[in-house]
Parts: sequence; structure tokens; C-alpha cells
Amino acid sequence: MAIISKDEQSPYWASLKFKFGLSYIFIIAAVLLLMNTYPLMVSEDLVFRSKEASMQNSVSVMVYSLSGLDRLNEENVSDAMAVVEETGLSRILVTDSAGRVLYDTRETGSALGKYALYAELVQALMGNDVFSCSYHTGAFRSHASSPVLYQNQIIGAVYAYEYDTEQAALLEGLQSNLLRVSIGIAIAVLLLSFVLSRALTGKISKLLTAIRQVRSGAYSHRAEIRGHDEIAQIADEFNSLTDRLQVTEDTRRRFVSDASHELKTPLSAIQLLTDSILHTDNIDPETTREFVADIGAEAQRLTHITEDLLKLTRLDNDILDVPTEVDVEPVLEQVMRMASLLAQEQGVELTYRTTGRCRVLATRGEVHQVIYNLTDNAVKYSGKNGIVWVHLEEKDDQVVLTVADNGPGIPEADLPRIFERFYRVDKARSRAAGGTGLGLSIVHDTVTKRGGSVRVENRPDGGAMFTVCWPAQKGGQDA
Amino acid sequence: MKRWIVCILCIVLSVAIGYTFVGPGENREGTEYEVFFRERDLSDTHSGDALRPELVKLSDESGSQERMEQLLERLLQGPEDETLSSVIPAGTTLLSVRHNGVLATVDLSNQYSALSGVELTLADYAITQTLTQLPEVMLVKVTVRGKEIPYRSGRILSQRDILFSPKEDVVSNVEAMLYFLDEEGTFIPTMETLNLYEGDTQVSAVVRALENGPQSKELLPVIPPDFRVRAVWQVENECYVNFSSKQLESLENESDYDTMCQGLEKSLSSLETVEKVNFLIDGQFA
Repeated sequence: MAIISKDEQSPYWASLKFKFGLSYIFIIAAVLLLMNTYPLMVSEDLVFRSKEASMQNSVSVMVYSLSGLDRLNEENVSDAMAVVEETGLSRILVTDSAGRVLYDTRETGSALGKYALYAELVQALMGNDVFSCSYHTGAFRSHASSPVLYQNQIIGAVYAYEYDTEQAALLEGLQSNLLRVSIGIAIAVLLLSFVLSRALTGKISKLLTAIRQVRSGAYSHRAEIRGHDEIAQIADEFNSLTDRLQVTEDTRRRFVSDASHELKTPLSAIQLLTDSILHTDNIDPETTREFVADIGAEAQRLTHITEDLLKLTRLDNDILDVPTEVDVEPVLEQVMRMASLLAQEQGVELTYRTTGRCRVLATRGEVHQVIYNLTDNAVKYSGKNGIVWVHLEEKDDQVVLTVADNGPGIPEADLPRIFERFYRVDKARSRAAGGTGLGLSIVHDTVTKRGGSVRVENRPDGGAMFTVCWPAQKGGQDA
Repeated sequence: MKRWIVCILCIVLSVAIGYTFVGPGENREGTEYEVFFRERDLSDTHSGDALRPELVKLSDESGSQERMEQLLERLLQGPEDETLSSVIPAGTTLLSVRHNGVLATVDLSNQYSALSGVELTLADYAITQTLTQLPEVMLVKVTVRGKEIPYRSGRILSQRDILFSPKEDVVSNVEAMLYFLDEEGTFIPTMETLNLYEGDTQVSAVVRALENGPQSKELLPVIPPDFRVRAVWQVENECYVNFSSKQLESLENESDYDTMCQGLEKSLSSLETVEKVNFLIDGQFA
């Protein structure tokens, strides 16, 4: 289990969970604020407009009832106002042109005879129709005022005032309902944001944990994240990447183990032979010569292994010579000449057939290596009186090289692994034949680095067949 | 950060010390008085008054005559606040001001006689409000070159003539005996002082108080919750209470109606102006 150091743990306020939750809360808070202000503002405005219309209408009716009077006094105003129907207004004042109150609906504390210096009344006495309304402390307070004219002369003014707590109570009820709903929504949002942010960032946390586990060397760890969203997709990609990493790591370990073993074997043999020479008294020269020859053979084998390893290392690091167009046919013929000697020694019949010029983009050495390794293997594993066929042709824009034998073939279980480094079907026989276990790996890596492919299969009549395909090149010069 | 806090604290302390020693409205140099001008934009007062004062300082060493003259001169100069305007016609000069007992007589130049209607009212009462601040002045008379202004001859101006806009919603109070019920159904009287808002009558205030229910948790209301009297009014010494038949149908028991009527009658009758209470249903006598 990887231990995450404190340095890696970011503070909570910097975490994605916090940011996500906070942004979610801010958005909802803005919506709730709007919900608690805009409807109230609109409602308030509607009430203002409604009151303006109704009060100005009421004042107009009263002004009309006073029209026709050339001069206003307490008696004629009282008579005119008695005709006006109940308006429901809280207070009505009628003044003369100087602002002296001639009529007041207030039951107690009437202002008759006083001079009303209300701003609305003064505006009306200056010739303006006025309305104002305010809402605060639980009531709508509305004022309306209009001048009374006689032959275009201002002879007085009518002032109306309304103190309305009922509509205010409705508005406050609306406000408190909205507030209650908002509080409920806010609580639900808080809980939801907590849950959602955990759900979302939980996946990311799992992924992060998995990355840290793998980083610390636990290549077998996988991120278990369900779902089909982008995070789940990232987790799947991560798992695939880790699978490849696991395979690569396993291959590396196996390679190191195999390489160590392969190198250790000849070294051990050399050690044994030299010890024998050194610790055997009166050893005869013939035996010594035999031992030294064996030491030489093992040293040569060690050298071959080292050279092959170096080749593979260069291929792994993409250290490749600049390729040119190579005509495979002459290279094939050269290899056939070399291999025919070995074939004769082994009692193997080696035949080959070419169908003309086949050009590939590689180096001559690479092509030579590929053909030689495959042919050498086929000859060694055909057995006495075996036959090896080598065929070269161009087909479907590919240069196809086929090397087949009539030997024992390759067990089906070993076919998928035949190109692995140091993999041998018959270890003892391979060593005896002087193989390093790297020949087919070199063939595979060399061909694939040049955009080609290699496959192996068993022949129906017995034996193995290797098929190498290179992309064919047209024209150019011979390498 | 600490320096800023210390600076702010020093400033606050200095202001507090200065305020303590100097005080509002008073300093070692004199006393502040109000000089009344007119709101320049009457539509912007938000149901306030047309006149609004500006503060001026007068030396405490000045006599009453000198103070009257200084206040009037300041009034004639016009306001410093741009949101105010002068009520006195431009070019008006103070010819004399004298007081005899509590009456101050102000004599102004000819320009003052150009005023009429509400503008004259505003000017007269700007002068009245300004001068009646002085303890020795309670009444004001304004003349033009020693003569009365013809269309309001003989009028003495007083601060009590003015109707200013009320600052409170409550315009008066009335005491009434409200009848509620105890657990046994017995009527219990409670004396309460009821606020009267603009447009309220005494009888409507009593009915509203009964609808709101008792303040004491030991008492029960006579009017059921959510039940509203349709209308109540008074003609001379008779009170009329009108119910809605639809609302009455919501009463659970017939006895609730009787209890409600009894409670209303007893409570309304406690008002001095009410001798009889009549009940109506949809405008018809019950």
C-alpha cells in the first residue's frame, strides 16, 4: 500500500471536491437570492401601479364633484363631498388655493382651518397631479393629490392618503413563503452538493490513489471505477496502460533472469574447465588441449550471446542504421551459399526460389541477418535427410520471404512464444546446436522496426514455416 | 495592518472626544437654529413636507432682537443647500422686526407683496417657523412696508396653524374595555389602549382588537380565528356591525354567533360615543 506523504495532500479548500461543492452552492445561492428579490419587487411594483390607478381615479372623482364651484369654502366642500361614495381611503383633505384645510375625513383631531404643507398638496396647488407610494414596516403608504380648477384657475386641491396593511400582509406572506421554500431548497442543495461532490471527486480520488500505487511500483493495482463518463474512460485507459506496464515489467524481469542464466551457463562451464586444469595434477597435454578448446567454445558462445543482446538493445532503443532500398535476391543468394555448407554437414537439402527483384527499405545487414537466422534455424532443426525450402516473391505490394522445413515442427503451445527472447522449445538441443535463444527475437524485432511482420505456423505435412513480409519498394538503386 | 487599526482607533477617539466636549447643536461659539426653506424638488421628498430647515449658528451673546434680525437676514439670503430653494422673493429686504410680548412683527419690502396663494403660505410659515424657535416669540405678523397684505389682513401666524406630515403611523389612541372569555365561557373585561391609524375609527379599532384576540394566553377570543367582520361604522351614537352570511356559515355552533355578538356589544358599548350596537347580516338587520 503506497503511503501518500503529507506534501502530496493538498489542503481541503484547494481540493476539487471543495471547489465543485462551492461553485454549486454559489450558483444555487444566486438563484435563491433572485427568487427572493425579483418576485417581491415585481409584486411591489404591481401594487404601486394598482394603487396609483385607483387612488388617482378616486381623487379625480372628488375633483369632479368640486368642479363648478367658483370658490371653495367649508360648507360647499362638505356638501360636494357628501355626494361622493365611500372610497375606502384613510384620509381625504380638501384645501383652498392657499393650502388652508376646508374638509378633513379624520374623525378625531381634524385639521380644519390649518394650513397643510404636505409636499404632495403643495405640488397640487402648483398645478400638478401627484402620486407617491412607499412600502416599509408592514404597510403601503400612498398619497395622491390633484388641483381643483375653475376657469383654469387653481382654487384648491384634493389630497388622499391610504394606509394599507392588508396588501402588505399578503406581500409579507409571499415573502415568508418564498423564504421558507428557499431555506428548504438551500438545505437540500447543501446536502446534494455534498453528496454529488463526493460522488464525482470520489472517482477522481480513486484514480489518483491508483496512479500513486502504480507509481510506487505496485503494477498489479487497478482503478476500479464504474460508469461510462469521462472519468471512467480515463480509468479504463489507465488500467490498459498499467496492463502494458505490467507486461513490460514482467518481460523485463524475465529477460533479465533469462539473460543472467544464459550468461551464467558458459561462464560456469569456463570456471569448471579452468578449475579442472588448475587443480588436476599431472594433467596430460591432450586433455588440457581439449579443455582449452571447450573453454574457447564457451567463450565464443558467450560472445555470440553478447553480440545478440547488443543488437536487441539497439533495436529496443531504436538505434537503427539509415535504411536504403535493398534488393533482397542477391542477399538471399549469398546466404544460401553460406548455409549450403552447413546444410551439407547436417545432411539437409536446401533449396530456394526467387521470382525476380524484390526491393525493401532496410539495410543489407538486416536483410542478411533475417534470412540467415531463419535458414540456420530451419537447417538445424530439420534433422538428418531433412529438406529446407526458401522462397522469395513480391505479392500485393509486399516482399514475402518464406522459410519452411519438414522437421518435427513446433508444439502449438510454444507457437505464440517462439519469438520471445531466450525462449526455446528444446533447450538442450538448442544449446547443443550453438544457439543463443535470441535469433528469432532479432528476426522479429528487425522486421517489425521496418514496418514488416513475421509469423510462424506448422506445415500440414509436418515441419515449421516462417513467413516474413516487408513493404515493397519500387525503383531505386541496389544497396 | 496593525498600523491601520491604530490610526483608525485614534481618529475614532478624537472624534468621540470632540463630540463629547463640543456636543451637538452647541459649542462654545453659539447655538444652532433652524431656518426654513422650500424643497427644490417637491417630488423627491417622499411624502415629507414642503418646508425643510437648514441649520445656522448664532452667538449666545446676541440679544433676542439681534437674533431675530440675524435669522431673518439668513432666511432672506437663501439656502446654502442646493436641494433647497428660497420662499422669499428675490430682492426682498428686511425693513424691521420687533417684538411686543410674544408677538413678533416682521416688516418686509414691496417684493413680498408679489406672493399669493400657496407660495404666500409657504413664505409666511417659513418666517413663522423660523422665528417661533426663539422662546420669546409665539406669534408672528408679517407686513409689507408697514401695511397688511390685503388678502389676508389681520391674520396672526402661529406654529399651531401648520399641518405637517405625520411622522408616525399612529395618529391617536383610545381606551376601550375589551371582553374576552375564560375557560368556563364567562366574559372577562380587559382595559386596553388601542392605536388608531389613519382612517381608523374607534369602533373599527375595537373590532380589530377583538379579531386579533386577547394578549393574555389565559383568555379565549370571542371572535373565532380567521373570522372577519365585514364592516363596522358609527352614525351619531349608534354603531352598526355587518357580518357576511358566508362567513357565518363557517361557524361551528350557533352559540358561537351569540357569544361573538355579546362580546362585540359589550366591547363597543364601552366607548363613550356608542350607546347602541346594531347587528346586520349582508346589510340587513339580523
